[in-house]
Parts: sequence; structure tokens; C-alpha cells
Amino acid sequence: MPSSPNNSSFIPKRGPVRRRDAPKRKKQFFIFSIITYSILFGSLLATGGVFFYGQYVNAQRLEVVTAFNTEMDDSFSVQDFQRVQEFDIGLRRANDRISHHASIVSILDAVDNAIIVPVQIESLSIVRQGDENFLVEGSLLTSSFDAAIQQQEILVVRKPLLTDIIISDVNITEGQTIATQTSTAAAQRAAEVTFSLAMTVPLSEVLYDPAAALMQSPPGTPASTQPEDQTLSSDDSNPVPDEPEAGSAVTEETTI
Amino acid sequence: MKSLGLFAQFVTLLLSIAIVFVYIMPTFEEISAVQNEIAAYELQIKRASEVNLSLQGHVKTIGAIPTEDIQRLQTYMPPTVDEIAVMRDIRFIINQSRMMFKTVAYSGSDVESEAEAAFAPKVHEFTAAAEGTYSQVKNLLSLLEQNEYPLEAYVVELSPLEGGFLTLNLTLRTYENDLINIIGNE
Repeated sequence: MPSSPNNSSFIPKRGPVRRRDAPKRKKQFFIFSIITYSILFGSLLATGGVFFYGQYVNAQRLEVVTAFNTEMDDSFSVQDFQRVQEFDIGLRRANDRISHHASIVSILDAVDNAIIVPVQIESLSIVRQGDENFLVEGSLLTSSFDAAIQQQEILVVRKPLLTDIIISDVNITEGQTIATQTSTAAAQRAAEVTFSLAMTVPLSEVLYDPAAALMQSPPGTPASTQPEDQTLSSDDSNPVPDEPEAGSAVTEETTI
Repeated sequence: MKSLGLFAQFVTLLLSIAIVFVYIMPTFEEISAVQNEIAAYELQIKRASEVNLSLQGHVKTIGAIPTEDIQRLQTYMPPTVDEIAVMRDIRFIINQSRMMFKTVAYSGSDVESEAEAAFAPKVHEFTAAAEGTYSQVKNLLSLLEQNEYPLEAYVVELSPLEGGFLTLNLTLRTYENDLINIIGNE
């Protein structure tokens, strides 16, 4: 039997193509893509959120600034503030001066009380050192060394003047006598002994007390009860003219 | 969801990071600064409100002070010191103490005060001299201490005279409520 030409080919015939089932691709889960997408969308979302929140915060700031300006402009009065400030400064300054208002009369009283009878104050200087203390310097005169020693003991040891007083210098020196022994008056001076006294009085110890001052010495009434022995060789019996001497008016050196 | 290529993923990641660093973080910092500013403003508003309330209270208090007291304060610490008037007062006080008036002079106002420099009132210094007895000296000092405005004796020098009298040399200070130095500097 003649074979058909188709069958005479030496090429082996291929059978019907059997399509092999391709291996089923597993559905891949693109985890990195999801993460990337998430990050991108998140950042975009955050961008939008930040933008709008920034706008909101700016608007809030504007409101607060406006409220602040309103508070400052409408409620605050510069005139009132200045008035209060001036009054406050004046009050504080006045209070400061009143609280440092010292009484020199108290110092003189204390010195008077500390000086024993035979001793007289020849000269006295009181210098205020700021608002801290007074420096009192005096030259005392007595007729005998005994009185001088007694006075020195009272001042240095007993310290009867005021508390916290520093006796910085007590010197006893004999008076100048030799050249004047011919006259009687000079002979009396021969027995004189002078000594200097310096002390520091804290200002807080001699603060002015209005009530005490008014009780001690009414204004306009000269005190005349001071014992002469305790004073600066003064004589209260000598009248002092009420009116000043002619030509003793305000000096020409006034620089107004 | 369509998968991205490796390059696209990389670019996307870079873009996201760039957005965060270039926009979000600086904007956050700005917002933080603005929020701090807002907090500061709110604090200042609160303080301003308190100051205004306090100011109104002080104004009311000052308004309630009797006029006589304010005048006394003005007398004690006047805004300006009339040197001639002060010298007249010193002379009057010396005469009132029955001492013999000698001189009074204005020494100037450039004396440094011992008090705090910024707070210190302006100081005016005067010198005076008089003669009299010791008790009159004490009376004069007492009268000076009772004056309506401060006449603080800074230097008191007593020296004997012939005839039992004393010479009194005084350096007195009074104060001026000079507000220009304080308010002008603020």
C-alpha cells in the first residue's frame, strides 16, 4: 500500500501538542510597595495637615496679638500709670527719708548725760556719715586729772551714752600753763586738763521720735533747764536779741 | 495594587523622606515657635490684665487719699526745691530758736546721696551759722527736726565764743523729688 506522501517524511511527526500546565504563579504580596505607598501617602497627608495646622496656628497668633494690643491700648492708661509711678516714687523716697530721720538733740542729750559735773565740753563736732552713723568728736575740759580719769572711766568702761557706741579716742593732755603763771587767771588754767573724745553713734540709735521731741521741747520755746556745768561754757542768762544783727541777712554767696 | 519597580520604590521613598525633611519638619518647628509666641502673648495678656487691674486699684487708692495728706507729702518731698524759700525758712527757724542769726547760704545740689543712686532724691545743701547759748542750740536743732520738710543736719560744729556764747555752724540737707532721672530713664 502506497503510503501517503505525508507519511513518507522522515521527520517524525509530532503528536498533538500537549500543553503543559504552566506552574501557577503564586500571588506575590508586594510588601515593600505597600510600605512605600504608605510612606508616600503618609507624608503627603502630613504635608497637608501641617499646612492647614500652620494656617490655624497663624490665625490663632493673630487673634492673640490683636487681643494683646486691645488690652494694652484700651485698658491701659499711660497717664494713670505715670501718676501712680510718680506718687509711688515720692512716697518711697519720703518714707526712706523719714525712716532715716535722726535726732541730733538725742545725741547732745546723751553726751550731756555722760559728762560728769566738773567736766565741760569745750568744742563739739557732729558729722553725719550717710544713713549709717554719726561721728561725734569733742574736746572736753576739766579742772583736775581726777575728774578726767573719772570721766574716762565713765566713757570707756561704763559706756553710759548709748548702746553700740565706739569710744575711739580718749587722750588726756595737760593744759598750756607754764608761760602764764604770773597771772591769777592763768594759774587757774594751769590746772585744766583737756581730753578729746571721738565716738560713733549708729543712726538707728538716735532716730527721731516726734512724740518724745514734742514732749521734750515745744517748738519755739527755748529750753533753759540745762545745767551750766554740763554745757559748753554757755550762759543762758545772757539775752540774745530776737532780731538778727544788721547785715546778717542771707549772704551774698548764695548761688541762685 | 500594582507593584512598583525597585527603582520606583526607591524614588518614592526618597521623595517621602524629602517631603518630611524639607517641608514637614521645618513647618513643625515654625508652628512650635508660633505656639511659644502665642503662649508668651497669652501670658503677657494675663499680666497686662493684672497690671491694669492693679493700676485701677492704685488709682482708686490715690484718689481716696485726703488732699491734705497729699499736700503734706508734696511739702515733705517737693518736686522742686525753692532755695530762697528754704533759706528764708532756715533763718526763720534760727530766729524762732532765739539764736542770733549770722549767715545762711545755698551750697548747691550736686551732692552725692548715700542712698541708692537710682532711687535717691536730688539733694540740696545749705550752710548756716548762728550764735547763742547751748540750750538755744538744742532748741534750734529740735526745731529743725520738727520742720515740715527734712532739714537734716549733716555737720554740726559748736565752738565757744567770748562771753559764754557759742558759734553754731550747720550744714543742712533737704531733698527734692526729682522724677526726671527715674521716669526719664525708663
